[in-house]
Amino acid sequence: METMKTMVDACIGGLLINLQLWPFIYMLIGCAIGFWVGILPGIGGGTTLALMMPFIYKMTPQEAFPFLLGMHSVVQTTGDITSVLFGIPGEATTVATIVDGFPMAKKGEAGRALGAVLMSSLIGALFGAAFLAFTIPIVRPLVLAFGSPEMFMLILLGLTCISTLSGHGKRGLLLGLMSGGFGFLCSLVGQDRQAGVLRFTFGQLYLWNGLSIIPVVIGLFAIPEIIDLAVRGTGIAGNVPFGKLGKGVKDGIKDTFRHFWLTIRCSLIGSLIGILPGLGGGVAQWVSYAHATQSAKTEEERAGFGKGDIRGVLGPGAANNSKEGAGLIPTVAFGIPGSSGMAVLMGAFFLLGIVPGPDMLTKHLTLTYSMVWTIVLANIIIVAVCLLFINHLANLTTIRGSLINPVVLLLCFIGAYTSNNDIGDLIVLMIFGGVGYFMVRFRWPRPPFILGFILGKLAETYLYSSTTRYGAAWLIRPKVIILFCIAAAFALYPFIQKRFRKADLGEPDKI
Amino acid sequence: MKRQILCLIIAFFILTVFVSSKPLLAAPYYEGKLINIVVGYSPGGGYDRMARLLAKHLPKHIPGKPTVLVQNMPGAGSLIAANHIYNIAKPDGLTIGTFNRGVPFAQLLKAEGVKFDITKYSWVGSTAVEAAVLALRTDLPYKTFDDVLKSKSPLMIGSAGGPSDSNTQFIILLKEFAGLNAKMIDYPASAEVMLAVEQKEVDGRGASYSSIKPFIERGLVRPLIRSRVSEPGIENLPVDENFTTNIKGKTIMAMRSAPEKIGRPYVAPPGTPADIMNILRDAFAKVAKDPELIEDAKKNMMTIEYVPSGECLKVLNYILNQPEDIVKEFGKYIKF
Amino acid sequence: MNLFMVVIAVGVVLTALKWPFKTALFPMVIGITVFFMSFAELLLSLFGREERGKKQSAIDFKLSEDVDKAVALRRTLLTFGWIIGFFLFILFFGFSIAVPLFVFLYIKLYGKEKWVISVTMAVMSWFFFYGLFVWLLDTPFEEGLVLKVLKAIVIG
Repeated sequence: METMKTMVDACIGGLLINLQLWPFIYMLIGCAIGFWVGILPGIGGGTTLALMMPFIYKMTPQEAFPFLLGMHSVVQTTGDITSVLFGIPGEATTVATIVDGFPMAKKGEAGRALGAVLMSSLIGALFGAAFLAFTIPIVRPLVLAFGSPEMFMLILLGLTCISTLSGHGKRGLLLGLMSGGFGFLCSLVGQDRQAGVLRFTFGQLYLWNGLSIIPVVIGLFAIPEIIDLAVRGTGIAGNVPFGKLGKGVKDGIKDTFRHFWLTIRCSLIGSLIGILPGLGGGVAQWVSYAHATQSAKTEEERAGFGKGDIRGVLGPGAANNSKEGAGLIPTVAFGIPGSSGMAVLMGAFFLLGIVPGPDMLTKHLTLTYSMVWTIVLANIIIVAVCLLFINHLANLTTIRGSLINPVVLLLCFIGAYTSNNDIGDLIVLMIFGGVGYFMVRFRWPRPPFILGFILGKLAETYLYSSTTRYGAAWLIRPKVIILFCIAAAFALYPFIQKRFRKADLGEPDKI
Repeated sequence: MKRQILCLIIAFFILTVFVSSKPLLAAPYYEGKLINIVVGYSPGGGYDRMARLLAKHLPKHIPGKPTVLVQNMPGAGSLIAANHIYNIAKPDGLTIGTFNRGVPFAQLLKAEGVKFDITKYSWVGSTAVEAAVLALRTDLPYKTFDDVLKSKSPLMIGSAGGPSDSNTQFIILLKEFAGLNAKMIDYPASAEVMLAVEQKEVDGRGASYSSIKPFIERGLVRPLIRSRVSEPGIENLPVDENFTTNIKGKTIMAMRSAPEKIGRPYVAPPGTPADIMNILRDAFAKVAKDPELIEDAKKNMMTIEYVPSGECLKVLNYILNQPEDIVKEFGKYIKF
Repeated sequence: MNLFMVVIAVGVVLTALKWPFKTALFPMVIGITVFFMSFAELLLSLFGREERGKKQSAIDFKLSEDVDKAVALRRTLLTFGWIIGFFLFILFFGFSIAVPLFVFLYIKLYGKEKWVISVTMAVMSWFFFYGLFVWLLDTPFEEGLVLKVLKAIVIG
């Protein structure tokens, strides 16, 4: 009873902090900055947080956190916009939104896609914030429950999504696995952690730390689209006339509620993955995308994914926001950052004289709740603002290809370059642009590549740490087995579904 | 006669005015200029935060009050930045750089990609000492390193960064020469190691004292042993060298620890003129005592200590002038 | 494409042979698996039944099929060319010059737009690039080889 009361008090207290003048203003400024950071490809939340640090020296904690978090939590929402409109990932964590969002824009349904992505982002953000708020009491045991073997299993789960994302049929699966394998191999570039051996670096210093995800992802996804755009010779939305796209927005919003439970489930996936340090961003979007495809009931429906199914937009849109709230959990509760952006946020904690850790859940509970409210308020504001401008945003897709192509290309190049400030970034961009083009040409699916790429090195590290720590015993830990079953279910789902379908079709005579 | 004296007096005046106005007329070198601090890591990490802290407070200690900016040039364990400062940046005092303190080993072990001689930089100095410690969970029965040595089962020690990470190397040497019975578990990053410590999946880790201080103060871990270089707070810990009788081992441990004295190295390109270097060194020495900087640093959980360039070069020469056989032995455990 | 994968897989495995066990494990396992898969795929695409291919579609976008093949090919090559060209501009002239130059040339030559539009877009893109990245974010951009050479000649 006592804890309930403290929680409610802190909750209200947190809201009140955010509604004071200066914290609110700073939050708005943060939102504005975050809006642009998300929209511009390549510029990441983490880097910008670091650059904003000097500005918070003079602020109080109540002002600084709405500022930093206002910025950071909004980035995921606006990053989806770039993904939908231009096929360029606004952030490394909004790539999955491209797969169905951009085809919709090409069909002239940009408004609908944007409406859906914004609404699902909002729901995801709210879910994530609620998740953070309600799990605060049980957060410590929750995070402590996932040791190295469990992490490895989760990564495996992520990898099994490759099969779901591969397209159907045995041939499709084969191509998907190869794509994933290729991605996996690419993730192994760089200095190996076990012996310090340089793998596949061809004598280039640039490759020591491996291939950076942003140039790879921009090259892989955006460049083929640019080429296709040039080939078609039209604007992104084909020959749809100017001005009509805004109408779709309401449809998009309605879609989010039509598929409400899917959105919630994907938000849950985002939050669960977001809690675990290291996995977060890249993985959450793909697992929820894979889950969204599983909601397709027939093979024909599944074939629709990748061509503009609204559910493919809702899933990742929700997940990449819900993981934000959850990502704060390890940072706040343990002083262990869940991502590079969180690491910078932790720096801010120290700067302001607050030590993240158990104190945040007791002495500074109100502050923690104010962070929750920041996520809520910031996203509501940003989504409202975006919806106002959505007409104009959607109409960007009708601009002639010859005008928009160089701008898009420019954004790609700059976005890639800011990864390492090295010309190597551009070379990687172009090489993977070529790879992406040929993959699309020869019908090799790209999402499995990205999964393999993100998870490859992590899988290797956790496999070794699990084995060194526990010997072979880790295989029989209860959580490991449970996760393995879930992973297997995920992998086999398409085949199970097919069998049930066949069985159903065979049933009619037996009445 | 009178005329001559008048001319002489006038000439004397002109001379005096001319001589005394020279310092008034000459503006400070750094007036209106911009200094770039090139950091070999991405924003957010320890080296970057130190650079940004300095960028904020240095201007008032440099005559002319130039603007100081931070430029990130990550890659190859900061070798890219190191190469840039050595080969590309101009020796005009407008570019200084900071990189991984382990870089001397890259040169010693003749690692691929080293395009500099670390002793030839114009050294400004180091702004911190970063000593390594082994810290174990407080709920474990080990209170001293001797206790640890007596343990029957292997200790599980977490690490992040692989064999090129200085703190990992610290543990490797303890295993090799001091008889520490431990298994090293590698994690993707420091954050995951700390989580593993919380989860009791690992018993402890090697880390730089400054980064693990918050966890020591929280009571999660306690430091048990350090190496030759020390920081205020851990002076009373035993030193790793005292736990081995192997002479080579002692030297190798001392060598590994030596760069910790140059915890946050700052250099200017080789050939930067001496008077400019004096301005910079002076500024760094002064800023390290600046009360505002110290205040900020404390908030950032950083301790500032200026180590002058002479000291830095002593350390470097110590490392680089080791005999062949020691270097070979060193190379077996230490990689860059 | 499959051939390419086979070659890469073989390359990976061969390189990995030299490494210590732990370092080599993953590259080898994945490399060998990918090798077999790509080999199988190669055989299938050479000898397998054509019809199957139509049904197995990947979850990914398709290149537009409604444009005439010859035109498509020409446009593809041209665009690749422009992309590489942009890169070379950046290499030789540095971002500051390459950005407006590229935007201008592309819109004017390829897009065949009017002077006004081309110049305006070029100028706007330069402002955007400079204002945001150079002035606000202080991103370091290399100078470009041509400028470096020119400076060297002038100074030296």
